Amino acid sequence: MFRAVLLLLWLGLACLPTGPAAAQAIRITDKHGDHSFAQPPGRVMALTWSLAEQVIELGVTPVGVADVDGYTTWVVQPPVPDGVANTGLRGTPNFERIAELQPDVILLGDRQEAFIPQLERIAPVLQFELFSEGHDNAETARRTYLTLSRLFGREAEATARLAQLDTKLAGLADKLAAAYGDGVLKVSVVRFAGATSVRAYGANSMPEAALTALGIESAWPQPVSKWGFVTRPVTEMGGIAEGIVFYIGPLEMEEEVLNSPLWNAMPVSSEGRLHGLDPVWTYGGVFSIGYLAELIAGKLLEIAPR
Amino acid sequence: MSLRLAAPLLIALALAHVLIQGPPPLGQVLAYGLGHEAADYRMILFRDAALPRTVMALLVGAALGVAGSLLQHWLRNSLASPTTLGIASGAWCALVAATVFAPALAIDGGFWVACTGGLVAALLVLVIVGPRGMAGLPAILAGMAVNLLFGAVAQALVLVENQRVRDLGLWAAGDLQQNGWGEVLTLLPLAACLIAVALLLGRPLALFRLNVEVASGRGLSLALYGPVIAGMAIALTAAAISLVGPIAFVGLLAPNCARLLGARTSVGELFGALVVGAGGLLLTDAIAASVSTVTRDIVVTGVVSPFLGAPVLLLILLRRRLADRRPVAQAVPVTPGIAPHRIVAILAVLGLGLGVLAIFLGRSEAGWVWTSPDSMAVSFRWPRVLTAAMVGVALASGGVVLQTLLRNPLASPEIIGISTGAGFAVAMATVLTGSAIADPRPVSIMGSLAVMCLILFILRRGHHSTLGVIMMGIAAAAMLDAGLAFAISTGGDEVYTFLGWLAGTTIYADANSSLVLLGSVCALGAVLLALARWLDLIALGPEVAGGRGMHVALAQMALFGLAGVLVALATAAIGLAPFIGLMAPGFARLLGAGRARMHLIMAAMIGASLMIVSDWIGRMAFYPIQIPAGPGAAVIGGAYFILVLRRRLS
Repeated sequence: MFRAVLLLLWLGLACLPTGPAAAQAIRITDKHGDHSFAQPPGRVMALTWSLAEQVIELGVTPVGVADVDGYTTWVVQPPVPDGVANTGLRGTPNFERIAELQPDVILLGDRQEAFIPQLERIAPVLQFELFSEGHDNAETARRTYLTLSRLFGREAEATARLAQLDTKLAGLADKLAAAYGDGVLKVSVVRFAGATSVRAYGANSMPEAALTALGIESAWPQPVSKWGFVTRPVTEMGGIAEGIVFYIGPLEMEEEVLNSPLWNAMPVSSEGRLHGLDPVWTYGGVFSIGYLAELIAGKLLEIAPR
Repeated sequence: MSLRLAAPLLIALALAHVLIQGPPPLGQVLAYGLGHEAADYRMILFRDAALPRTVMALLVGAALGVAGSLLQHWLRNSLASPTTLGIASGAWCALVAATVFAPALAIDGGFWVACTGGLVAALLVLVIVGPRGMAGLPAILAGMAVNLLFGAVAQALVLVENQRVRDLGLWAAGDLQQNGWGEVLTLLPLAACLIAVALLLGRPLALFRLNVEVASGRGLSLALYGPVIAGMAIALTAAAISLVGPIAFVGLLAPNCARLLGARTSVGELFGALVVGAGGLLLTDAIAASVSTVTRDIVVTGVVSPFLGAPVLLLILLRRRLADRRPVAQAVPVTPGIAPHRIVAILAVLGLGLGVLAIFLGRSEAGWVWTSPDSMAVSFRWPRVLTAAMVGVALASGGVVLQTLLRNPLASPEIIGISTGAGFAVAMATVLTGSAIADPRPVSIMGSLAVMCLILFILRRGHHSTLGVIMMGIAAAAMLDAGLAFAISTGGDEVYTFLGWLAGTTIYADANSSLVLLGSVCALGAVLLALARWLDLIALGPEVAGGRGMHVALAQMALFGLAGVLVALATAAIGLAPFIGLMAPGFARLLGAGRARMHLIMAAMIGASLMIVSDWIGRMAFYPIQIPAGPGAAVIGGAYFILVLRRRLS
């Protein structure tokens, strides 16, 4: 009996210090090591677009995002909430403006480490390595999202949203399977860079991650690269014997690109296997994969044989 | 070079160029020739991609070669070319601006946009050096400065509109890929007409080469022919650039190669330049096309051409056929009627005042505010203002030294390649490591030092030194453009950081780095001031200086080394800031700076003020977006040259 009481006491004491202390400090590991936050930061600033996307997708409204106008044109989804301040270009952030907005944490992406000493005087800085030839960009995006969810104390919401995303992707894959039947569907995504060159999204790209999630194979495989794209001559697209190619808008030179004799002679064009997609960001976070998948699947269902 | 040799050579090169793009489907080509429809994709590829690319390379090479020869005849200057006179850069900048602000105009009227830009650049060079300066090195020096001016403006546009510019394919400077015959057929009639007219102008061109006075004596109306020849060269350049983008070196090297190969008459040189230009571009493009098949990303022709052109330029330099050794007059100081020490005092007050304004006056959420000294904004601003000022001092004193050493009031740090070399090093580091380096400063220092070593090597070679140093600058600038095009085409988001640095941004300055810069610039400046007497002696000419017991070569090397380190420090701190090193010494002369000591002090103060203002404009003009100091410096530079023009006219 006495022993049992002692044991209970000991157990009780052992539990005491760990419980509340663990709830107090949030430990986040970024590119440069461990950082500790006493409480979830309220005022967030994202100086690169893919982190802005992830923050917004956590249901957190950032106080500032780099080049908001550019974001609205090129990233589009998810929309930046009203009232978010522009913190300057991504390559030349406006430190004074950032300081004036009094953030609690500043989020940096690739190649912004030169600004850390200055920004650390304003608020704690977290830098994430988002795109690299040495890791899986899509996998990293998911991990970064979960890390951010711990920072903002929104793990439950993040898990739920990721599950939602996976369900959505699986649902789209099923619909495609139903529409296209058996056999492997082949699709590739490109962005035109002028009338004669094209950026082909291949291994380690967000579009390819979306295609894989939809159960689609690449129609024009490309080697691994840091950002997931390679620049190739348009003429090489003539070698795409089967499958569908999507090009991402906005395409201002549509006339020059798509009306040339050469282009019209390409199997992918003459056989009607080329389609445009609405603007969507191809260097985003984990939810950009969802937006890409939605656009691709939507178009594929629209043009399905039946 | 005889026609009998040239024609088979060109045909062989053209054939090789077609074949290198993939073997043509011979059976189908035959069937197509007999009137059958082109059915297979391989046949279409041959007809609409390979053949037009070959013809395009031929045409563009010929056009640029002839344009270069025309300019070299007109100015009697073997370094004249569309690139070295700033014409190509002006045309390209106009095209980029039109694409960003009026896309429809750029697509439909690209040729006219490019023509306008090229013409503006040529006129600017004319304004800077005056009609008499066009024949010698001054035109080239001014042309390189104008080249950097338009480069800075184009870079600023690319920086702000990067995403769009890349999607429009503007990065592809010097891309000869074709997707049909449309562009070839646009260029063909224009280029053919202009080239034919040029070949018919043999007699007047030959007279131009002889001498202006002789030509007038033979009844040749120079007032008529001069602008016609220049206009034709600009039109040829604009036509080529509006279709394929800038390609360095063809216009400069083709006429020089033609002369090296033995072209004696004007028509001979024009024809030789045509053949060498066309053949050279075919060769360059064939290399680009072959390399592209094995690399992960496309390598465009404009990226390859400097790597081939620079060694050829060096080769020509070693053959010493570029005989332009006109003495260049030093700018005479003006006496404004105020004692120099008073002017120094006024400049000091002005610089300090501007510094204080730049630190405390700024924009915020609430509009324009006079910021309190203990605010965070001020703690960010003062290192930037101090860095800008020190960069101004470094570039200005570097400019004074270089102008004295090269005995030319238009020499300036940015046009002899020290800063452009640094830019090239950073661009290549971006390409080779696959990502932009986070902090460009260390690589920048290495690039500058490498160029400096090369320049010191050239200086040791003796009396052709000035020319060699300037050619070094030409080569470095072309390499920078190529590296930049490649970095933008293969890079992702990281290009933003890189472009910001390249256009002269003080964003990397913090308290420590700015104080270190202050210390090193002051120390080097003090040494320069102590050596000011050497500068005065060298300004009198090497013979006089040697006569007074001075070891001229040693002094030159020491002074050059000092100036080089100053410029390297400035470039590492903020990147490229065109015109400061050219303007500040010139302004100081306008204010009456005579002896080297006074010239150094005044120029340094003016340089500091100019940089403070340029940086402030960049930080405030598009708030909350901050752009680099380069474009601001360029705008002030434009105003300065108009001032110089007004002075010349009055």
